[in-house]
Amino acid sequence: MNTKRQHWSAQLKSASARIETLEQYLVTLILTLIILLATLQIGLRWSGFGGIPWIDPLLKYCVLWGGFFGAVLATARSQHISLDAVDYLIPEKIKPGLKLITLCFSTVVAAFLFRAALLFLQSEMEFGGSSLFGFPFWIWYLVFPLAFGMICIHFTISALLVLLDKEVEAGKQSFSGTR
Amino acid sequence: MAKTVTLLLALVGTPLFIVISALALLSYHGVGIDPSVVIIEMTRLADTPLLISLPLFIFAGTLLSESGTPTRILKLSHLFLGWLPGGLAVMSLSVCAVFTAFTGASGVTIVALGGILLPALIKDGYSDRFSLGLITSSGSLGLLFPPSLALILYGVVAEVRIDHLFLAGVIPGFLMLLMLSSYAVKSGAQAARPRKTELSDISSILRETMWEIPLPFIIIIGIYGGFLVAGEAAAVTALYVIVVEVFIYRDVSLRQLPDIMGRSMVLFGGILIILAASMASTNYFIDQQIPSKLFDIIKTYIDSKYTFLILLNVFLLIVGAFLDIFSALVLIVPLILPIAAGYDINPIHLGIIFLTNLQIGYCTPPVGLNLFLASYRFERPILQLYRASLPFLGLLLITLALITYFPWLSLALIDWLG
Repeated sequence: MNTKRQHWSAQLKSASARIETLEQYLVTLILTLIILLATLQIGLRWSGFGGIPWIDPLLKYCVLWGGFFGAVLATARSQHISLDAVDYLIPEKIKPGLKLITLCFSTVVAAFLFRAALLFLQSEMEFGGSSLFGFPFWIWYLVFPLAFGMICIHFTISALLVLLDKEVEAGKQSFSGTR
Repeated sequence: MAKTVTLLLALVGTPLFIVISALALLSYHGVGIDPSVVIIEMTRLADTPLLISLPLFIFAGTLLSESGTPTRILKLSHLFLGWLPGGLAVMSLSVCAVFTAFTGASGVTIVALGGILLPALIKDGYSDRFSLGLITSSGSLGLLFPPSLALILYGVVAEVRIDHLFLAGVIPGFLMLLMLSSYAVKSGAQAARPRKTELSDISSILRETMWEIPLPFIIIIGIYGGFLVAGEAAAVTALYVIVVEVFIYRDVSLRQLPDIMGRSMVLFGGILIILAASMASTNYFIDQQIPSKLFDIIKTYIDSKYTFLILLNVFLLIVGAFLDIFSALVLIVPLILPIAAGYDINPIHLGIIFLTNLQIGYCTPPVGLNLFLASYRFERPILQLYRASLPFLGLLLITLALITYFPWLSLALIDWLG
């Protein structure tokens, strides 16, 4: 039973690492694009060509996509800004349980945000106009459901890992205890 | 009930954006508004002016902290300040200030520079207590100097001009540096001998740092010479830092860049998503006229602008000791701004008061972040750090009082140059 849990834990960790690598490539690509486009625009303006009109609106969307996928990556790496004002008061013994509760809560809230993003997108598809390069607005705002969906997945994986690793750990302890 | 549970979960480490989003979703649900409004509010982020400067300056700062820049800045400062009695201490303060201005007060300064500066100070004859206090309190010094991320974020949240904020921080920032430096010189005169620098050293150090010296000037001349807006200055800085650190100094290899970019975007994403969540909750607060109701309550007890400022300082010092600077800015500024406007406080001046308080809050016992970072980094008991940082804290509080009650200090350069 314990080996099965270890297997699932390893599978989840490897899947999570693969998703994280893809997300890292995406944010790196977006940041590179932001630096190149922004400096190209300045170069063009300074050299008297006046700049390209679509660069500034595209940069706005790049910042939005880059930022939200940065937040997805922060979730994958458990590096979100949080208050841990009472962290040092909490006994070590109950910390894993508390972590599981906060992760489950975060998963539920992220799921509600995902749903809100889908509702928003639906109304944009019905009533929204068109934006940069003639694409409808909702294409540019796809980042919201995508990011909140991925955030929800990462929180779920982290919660499952806490659960699996905690039981593996407990199994090891009881095993060493009975030995 | 649900809101109370959410707030309790915030205290035990739930990500702040989840807490704020949950409160916004619950609040809108409570008044029967569709949850998609939360996302509509978040889309306003795309139109936030100068948001682009955040990821670019964060990236430039992260890349600089990963390179050999900290060591080279130290050598350069030694060249200029090594002759002073207490020169090493003044140098440490100045280097920390410059470094924090570029990297943000995320604790990087203590981690990156503390390890080099603390043994150097002790070796130079400064007492252990003085050296620890100096490094701990200077870990967030420089927050008021351009291109500090905190200044940019305040500008984004409060919708005030970032070039004006950059100007407003200069005199208060120097005042703080001057106060701490005077104390360092006074202590240093008893503790350490000034060092002499050989002529050959001067030319070699200048040659070594010739590509990093122009960096602050690119930003300052670019913005105030009218060549670049803040977002463009950030882009030029990011590209310049890549060229210098990757291709000229070769401190960082091209292979390391994706990892550094990833880490920068994680920090930016962490800030952006809190900003997004708070846009939704702030709009709810404004719809419900909460700031104006708060103002009415406060106004019944406090008439004077100056009493309000005293209470604001106490409140912000507490906030600064508990919250990190980015979440404090995003959460508190939208609430305080309309109240401060009711007391006729200039939003730029308010920004400088705000950031000074948060900076001091970082080294205020019992839970200031710098104290914990220094305790962890230097493996010292936290109580030793409380004692060590007290004289520096006292001086910073005097500066805070001056900055609060003399708005001129924050506004003079804007009147003159802005």
